[in-house]
Amino acid sequence: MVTKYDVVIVGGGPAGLIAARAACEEGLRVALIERKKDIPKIHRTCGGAINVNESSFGEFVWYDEEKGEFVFKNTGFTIRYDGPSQDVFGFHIYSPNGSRLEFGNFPELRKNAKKNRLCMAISKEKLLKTLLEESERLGVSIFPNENVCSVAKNSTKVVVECEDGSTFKGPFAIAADGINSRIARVLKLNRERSFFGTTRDISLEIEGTECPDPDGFLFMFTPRGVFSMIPMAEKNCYLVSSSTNRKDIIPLELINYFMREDPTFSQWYRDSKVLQHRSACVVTLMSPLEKPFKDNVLFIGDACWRREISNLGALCTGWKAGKSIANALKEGKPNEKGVEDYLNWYQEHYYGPHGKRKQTGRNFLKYLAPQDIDYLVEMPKRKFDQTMDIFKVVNSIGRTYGDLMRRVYEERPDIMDKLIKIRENMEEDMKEQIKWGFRTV
Amino acid sequence: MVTINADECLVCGGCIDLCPKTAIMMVDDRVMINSEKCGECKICVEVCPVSAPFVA
Repeated sequence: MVTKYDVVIVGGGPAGLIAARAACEEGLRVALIERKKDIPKIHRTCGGAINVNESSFGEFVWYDEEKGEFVFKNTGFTIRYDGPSQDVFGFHIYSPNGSRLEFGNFPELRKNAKKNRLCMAISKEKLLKTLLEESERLGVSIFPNENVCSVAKNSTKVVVECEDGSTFKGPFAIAADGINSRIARVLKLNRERSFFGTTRDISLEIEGTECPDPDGFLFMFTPRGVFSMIPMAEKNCYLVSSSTNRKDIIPLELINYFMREDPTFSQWYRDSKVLQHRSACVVTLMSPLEKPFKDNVLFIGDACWRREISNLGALCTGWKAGKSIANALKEGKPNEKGVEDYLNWYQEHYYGPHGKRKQTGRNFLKYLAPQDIDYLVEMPKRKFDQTMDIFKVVNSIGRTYGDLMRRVYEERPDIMDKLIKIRENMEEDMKEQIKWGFRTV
Repeated sequence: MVTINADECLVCGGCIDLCPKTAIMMVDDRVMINSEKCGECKICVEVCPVSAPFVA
């Protein structure tokens, strides 16, 4: 079977589905290929949250309660969502004894939740279902249960081939195939990206927790690794995750230790009910694509970035790419020049401000004893500004501890020595992390 | 031969993405290894967060 389209989209996550909708709205013939049979079903771990009320990658989203839709003001589109949600107010970073750095005063913020929330934990399944239904209604040709095996450009078309022999052709294709993008690999784009290792994550869904302020993105430093807990869409439900970049660690054992045995944090889960659905994720850590385009394939969402662009970034890049292709075809420019507005926009809001940010190999847990981390976390004795922007968190931690270093040097020269060692060994530790990983070139 | 324990597999698709021989596929929302294409490199075994692939 060979069928001709205006654009062939590979991947039916948030990025691919909104791209399909955006292109179809402009009258394009759109094919969307997805390897899952049940497209909205979530198997791969996702925070399932949408940032609101705070600028992120050049976008400022707000939720219109009356209409039941997310409004992406700057990019210029809306998404219907009337499913369950929990409000998220900021980050908390916990040390092994349960002390914490607070980005936002949650009890205070909770008093006016709709105004103060910076994120809404939503049901990604419900979101994908809505986008899928809208795409189908508009006339997108949807092909579930298809595994793409090759993507190549001939003189005029991009040819997408599947394992079962189905072939799809169009002047443009969109790679929306996620964090370990096979298409980026096939088109040899990973060769120019820096590689930082591979993480393997697992997440359990729980109902009920005795954590005092669970309505944030929480990161817990423990002697066995860093864990996270974030709210899910359903009331009183949370996603607890562990992540490791070492081959000799089994993520499931790690998370069981955290919830059952960790002397501090297991207290939070004494009466929690562990729900049946589990998810996992393998993440190839690479620098983002400098130019999300090659051979008439546009890259969107995690396929060109890392997961910190999250659902908001997936939706914005997807929408923008879909519109850009429609524009290129209308103007009779089925080439890079035609989609320049997408590439320039990506440069302005994504790669320019954040693309060159280096991953550092700082391995705190390797050098600092649990009590050292407790000491450091207890030092600032103040709350930080509320934010859901991980870059802002990193920057304010850097600034705060920069100012506190003299005190560490005077009070705890032993910890100072360790911090110096962490810095000195950064490159060596990064090499080790890379050695544990699987480079996809 | 490498096969997948379907009872353990969470269908996250990490092994499909990382397989250098594109020998792993998702069929009817299950992960399957095509033994004819498999090069027995065992990356899928090493990378799986729940140790679902195993060498039989």
